[in-house]
Amino acid sequence: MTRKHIITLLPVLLFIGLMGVAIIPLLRGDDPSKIRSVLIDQPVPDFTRAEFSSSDLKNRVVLLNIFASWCPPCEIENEMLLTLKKDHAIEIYGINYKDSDAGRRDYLQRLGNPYVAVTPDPKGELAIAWGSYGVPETFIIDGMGRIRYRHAAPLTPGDLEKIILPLIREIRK
Amino acid sequence: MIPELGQFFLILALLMAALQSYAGWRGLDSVCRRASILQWILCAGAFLCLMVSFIITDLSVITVVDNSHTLKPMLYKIAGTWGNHEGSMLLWVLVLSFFGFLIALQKKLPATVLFVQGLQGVGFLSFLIFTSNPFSRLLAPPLDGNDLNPLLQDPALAIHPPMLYLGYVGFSVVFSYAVAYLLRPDTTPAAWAKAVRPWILVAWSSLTAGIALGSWWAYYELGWGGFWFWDPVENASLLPWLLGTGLLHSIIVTQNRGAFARWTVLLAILTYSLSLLGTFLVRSGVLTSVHAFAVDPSRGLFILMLLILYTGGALLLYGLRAPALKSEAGFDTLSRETGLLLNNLLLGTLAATVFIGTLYPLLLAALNAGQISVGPPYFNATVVPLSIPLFILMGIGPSLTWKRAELGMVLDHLKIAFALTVAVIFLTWAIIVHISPGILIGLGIAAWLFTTAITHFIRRGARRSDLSMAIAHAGMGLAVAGMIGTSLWVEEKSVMMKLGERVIVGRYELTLDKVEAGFGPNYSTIQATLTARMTDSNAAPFTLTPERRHYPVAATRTTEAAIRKTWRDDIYVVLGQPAEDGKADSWVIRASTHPLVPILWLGLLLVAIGGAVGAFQNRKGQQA
Amino acid sequence: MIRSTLLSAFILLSLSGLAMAGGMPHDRLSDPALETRAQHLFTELRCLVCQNQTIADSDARIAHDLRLLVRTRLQDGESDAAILEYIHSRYGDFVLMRPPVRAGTWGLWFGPVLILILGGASVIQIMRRARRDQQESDNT
Repeated sequence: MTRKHIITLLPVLLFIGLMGVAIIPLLRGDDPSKIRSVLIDQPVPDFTRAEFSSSDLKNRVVLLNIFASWCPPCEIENEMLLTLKKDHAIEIYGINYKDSDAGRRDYLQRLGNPYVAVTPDPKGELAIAWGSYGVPETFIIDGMGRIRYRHAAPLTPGDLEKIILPLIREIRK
Repeated sequence: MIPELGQFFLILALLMAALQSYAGWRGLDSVCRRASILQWILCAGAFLCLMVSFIITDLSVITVVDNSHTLKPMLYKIAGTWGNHEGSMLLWVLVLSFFGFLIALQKKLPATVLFVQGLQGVGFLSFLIFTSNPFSRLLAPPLDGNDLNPLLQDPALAIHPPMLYLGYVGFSVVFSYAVAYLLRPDTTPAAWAKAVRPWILVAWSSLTAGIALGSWWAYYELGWGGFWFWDPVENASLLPWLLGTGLLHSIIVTQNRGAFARWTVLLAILTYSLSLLGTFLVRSGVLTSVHAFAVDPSRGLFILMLLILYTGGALLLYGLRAPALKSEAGFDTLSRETGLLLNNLLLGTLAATVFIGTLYPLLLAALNAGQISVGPPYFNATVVPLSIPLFILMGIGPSLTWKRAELGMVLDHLKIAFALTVAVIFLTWAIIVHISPGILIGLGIAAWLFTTAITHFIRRGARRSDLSMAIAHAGMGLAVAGMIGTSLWVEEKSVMMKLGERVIVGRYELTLDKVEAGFGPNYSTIQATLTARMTDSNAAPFTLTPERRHYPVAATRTTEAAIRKTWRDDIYVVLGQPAEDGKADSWVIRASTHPLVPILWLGLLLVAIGGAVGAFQNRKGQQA
Repeated sequence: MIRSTLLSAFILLSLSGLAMAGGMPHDRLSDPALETRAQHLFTELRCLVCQNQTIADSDARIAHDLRLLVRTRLQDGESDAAILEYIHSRYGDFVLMRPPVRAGTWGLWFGPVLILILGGASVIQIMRRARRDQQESDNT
């Protein structure tokens, strides 16, 4: 080994470091299309609407769900939301994203209404305030008015059992 | 039957690659030569088998079912052979073995080079056979296939992957030469450089053409009106190009002066490694991208293993053996060596910047340090300031002489080009009233590159040996002008038009005549017809027909921009969505003029041609 | 008849189609200076559900909503920085096409500068040594 070796061995060392980092997401099976919300552990965004306001979400564990009648996955998810309401007595607030009044009424009548209150969001600005990037999305808000979890996909029975209910139990403790 | 034959060929090719490698190491020249040639013939046989399966739409082959359809036009049935993951990897090994075959044709066989090339054949053939078998059969063939992604059904894109792979894989030869030289340094650095230089030129010129075709496709097919989007997959092809361009220049110093040998060998290894990395990024889907068509983590892992094996092995070997390479030669501060050294500094930094920008989101995500997006604003802010000195230097460099250059003489050589450049800037400023400083600087740089290349060539008496550089440098000047035209100089209008309405864009006046629905061979379409008149001349009006297509089998929609090319500009019309309120009598039309676009493609073509001319001349020089 | 059915079917389908820069023309702001600022902001923001597209080029719903938000806030007299700051606070760094400078992104922003400096230093060293070699060979 000479002094020159220190320089010429540098590339391979950098390469090993890089590969070490590159292999992590592959082994973990990360999905780069999943975006984490920055609002986790943040207070709920401030808003005041006729149907409900941010202050209504603050003194017990509630769910906030963003949905639309034109969104087929929302229809499927509706059943899960009804289960949460009926079997677990969880209050769910709804943001009706870019929808018509008729569309919303028809949708809730046809599928059943799991929501305590629903506010329309025709321009999508409320959805942006919640950092939403699609429908459906579900947020869990703890008793202190902080967002604890964001689910950016339709809820499935598995999600309910493995994620939503255990987290609600944990918060309530 | 045909798919089984193809499969059989592949397995034999794997054996040949192993034999080639073994014989190459042991110095059994004739065995090594024959194994290399056979490996190529077998790969070509396998490739033909897959192509036949695509042509006859053999629906018992999974690759065909997933990527083809009986109604697809013949050109795309053939192009479908490599328009998918398995087929493109088969193309990779075909090109790899083809280069092995070319090496084996040389009179004096570089056996150690073929040893390394054979090792690569073993790796990639195993990858193909074990994780991406193109000949896998379906037990119950469906009635028809799923069609090729319609965005890929385009003539430019049909030949884009072969060109790109000629570039990527072409650098495998350069890599093999570099590793072989580290293993058995049996000649002087200058002799080694002379042997490897034509291969660099071949690979680099193909890569240039491949990138240009991809860019051309994005411009004409994606309908976004841009030619480069700093997308990770685009960057993945740009990285080996940037470093390869550095290598192309540093090898000149090694060949002529015997200097920079260690650096040149390192660049040779890194350039190919970046080609492999590009493949890894595209095939594993670790980066989100519009291009990540085939995403599969297990394949990603396999390619990553190959990358670790080849690049890691080569770099370790480099670390241990490089200090023994003789690399010193004297030169003065003002000399061609210094010019090329600065060229490498700037190109290396550029490559490092694009590398960091492309991989940084991945790095942060892996370390759970947050998700970020690195987009065009980052690359424009970093790449442009690094490119400007590089382009200025590019005009000066050729006028510098080896060892020592006289400042007075250099300035004397450059004065005509400098005067012409100033004239171009001044005339542009005087003729076109509303012009931004950015455009003037950009056009000035373009003029500088073009005029320095031409005046240098003429002043030296139009020597044949100067031809390739003159073409490539002048081509780059034209390309820069085109890039400026189609990024900073675009005039765009987006309007709602009723039938019969008019709009003026740039020097064109457009009238919307009709909007009709129709059918193509494997798609349905909605097509607008517009008449365009030039407001500044009496040239005959022409029609433009932008389309929105729907491919039912692939369930994809595409926007077909209508483009009319002239030497001055492109007029580019896209048919947008109908009005959101559902009234079908008005249509969104986005029309833009892109000045100097033809010059962009012409310039890039010249850059590629310059490389090819250089390869040809160096090859001849070598045999003489 | 068949044609008109096909046409209307196509209209429905193409609602989720490809790019139109900056959205529908009737959405544009009447003040050209504000619209220019809007167009510039669009190129700084990522369409979250698209792959490496800015909201300027995207037809996705979220891109449409963000464009509307940007234009509305510009008309209300907010500064470019304030608008970016608001959207950043909702979606995090991911939404910005130009990553913010923070401890985690130092490597991204200063890495290239560092490489240029280190590379430049070694180039100077190589040139010094080469010049010395050249002078020695001149003398002999």
